[in-house]
Amino acid sequence: MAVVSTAAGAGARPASADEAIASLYAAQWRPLVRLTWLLVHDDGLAEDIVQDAFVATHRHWDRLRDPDRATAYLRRAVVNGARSALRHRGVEERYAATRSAPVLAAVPEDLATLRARTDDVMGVLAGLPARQREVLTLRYYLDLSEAEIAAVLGIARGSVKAHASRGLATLRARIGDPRTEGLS
Amino acid sequence: MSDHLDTEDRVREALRHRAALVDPADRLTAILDAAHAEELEHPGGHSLSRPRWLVPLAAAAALLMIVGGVWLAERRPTAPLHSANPPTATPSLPVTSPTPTPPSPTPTSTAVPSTTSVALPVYVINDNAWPVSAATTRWALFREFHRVPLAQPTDAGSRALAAAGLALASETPLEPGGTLQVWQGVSARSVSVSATGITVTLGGSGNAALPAALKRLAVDQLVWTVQGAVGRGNLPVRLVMADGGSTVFGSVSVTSTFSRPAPLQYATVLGDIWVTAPEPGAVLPAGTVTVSGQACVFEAALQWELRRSGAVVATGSAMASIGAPERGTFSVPLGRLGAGDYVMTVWSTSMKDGSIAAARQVSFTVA
Repeated sequence: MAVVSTAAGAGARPASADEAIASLYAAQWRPLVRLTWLLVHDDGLAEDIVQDAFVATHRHWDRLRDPDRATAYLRRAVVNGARSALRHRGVEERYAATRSAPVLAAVPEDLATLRARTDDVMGVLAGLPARQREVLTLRYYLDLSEAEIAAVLGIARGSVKAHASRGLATLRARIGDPRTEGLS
Repeated sequence: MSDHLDTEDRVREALRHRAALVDPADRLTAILDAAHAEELEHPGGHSLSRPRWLVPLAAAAALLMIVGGVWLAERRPTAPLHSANPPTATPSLPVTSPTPTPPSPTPTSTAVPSTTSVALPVYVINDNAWPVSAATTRWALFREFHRVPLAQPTDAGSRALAAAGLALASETPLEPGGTLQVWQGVSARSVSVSATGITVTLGGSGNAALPAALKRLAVDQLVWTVQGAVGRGNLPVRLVMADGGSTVFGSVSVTSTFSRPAPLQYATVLGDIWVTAPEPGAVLPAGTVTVSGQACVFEAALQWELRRSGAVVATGSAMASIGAPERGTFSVPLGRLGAGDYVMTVWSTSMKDGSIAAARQVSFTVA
């Protein structure tokens, strides 16, 4: 039988699911765990949720193929996973309990000021309805557009705008805004 | 300063500041382990697996059933401790074989736990270039998947216990033709899993005459296996000797916990080339076949050869996604293969003298 000699180079071959996941992992694992932490306030739970999202992406890789689509899929999966976890595990109570937990130990004055501001905002965010919290987190942590947030959450752009507006209004009322302070 | 920030800036600042404090553990290996295990359990791609965070709930529900009297008088430990018989009793079925459900034991009460077939990652010790190179290069770990029946509901502890039993019972091939069971005389008595670590209780003390490097690698084998089965990344593993001893194999101290090294140090433990698909002994339907795996080789350069019934039918070269010391992935599309028995060999050569530095071989059948 004739010997067939071929070369399979990195640029020529189709990406296997393992390769694709390894590449996505390098770029997205840390930011997605951090995003998820902002939604659930639990280190191990955040890692579990994102791990499940990556496994699901591996499972559906033949259908996804495109890294951009896979990233969007990952975001949807982790936001849905966070919402399910909060709903099913009673994490809401733990989440609420951690909202005033100190972020840093003893720190210099400027860091202490930053910590205080962070705690104020995180405390108010934690008290918002889940959808408002998700919209604000995706908007201001990932800098997603309204259209991108709508795609991640599976809701209309108008709903994204409404949730953001209500959430920001609550935040302004609780933590103040120099642009509106003094106005009645 | 905050007076100069509007609400949106403050939200952005708070989210980024708080998120930056989150430093997640590495879980790539756990993700790929779970993905491959899922593929073996659900080859059609329809996963029935539950979210990882639901597993403790299932375990708690099972415990409630026990407390509620369903399994009254069972000699069950308090969850999440899992006990086992010696590892020789742990059943293991090749992943590509049909998975018959073992006959149910004769019911002695109204409730008999059902079993489910679970694919588990098990790390085994092989030479880094076996069986291609006759000369011993170095001992290293290679991952296999084994399918075993476990009582439902399964949880991290029961999976880790079963995987540990398989790892301890694994045999390392030796030239010429012999095998070595590194963990001979040692059994996994129990495994408990918490949020902060995994504890494995071992019966037996291990062979004190093994070379020191092989002793340490054997401990790595057990650590990687139970971590892989638990699927929560690099959780510290504590080994407890049932006889109260402070060493295993006569000289490896178990007074501290064990963890995987940093990813760039994986090459000190793992085999340089893994073939992750197809699984050894797989029977594939007629069609295109792609061989894929992981590699940590110089310049990411790999060579491969495909034989059918002993005759070479194709050879070629491939590139891993990244070269050593990083661990990359590779895939070799073989195209459409006719029916037959195949052996695929993937290897890398030494830049120094052209000898085979690392190799891996997998046999499979196209029906």
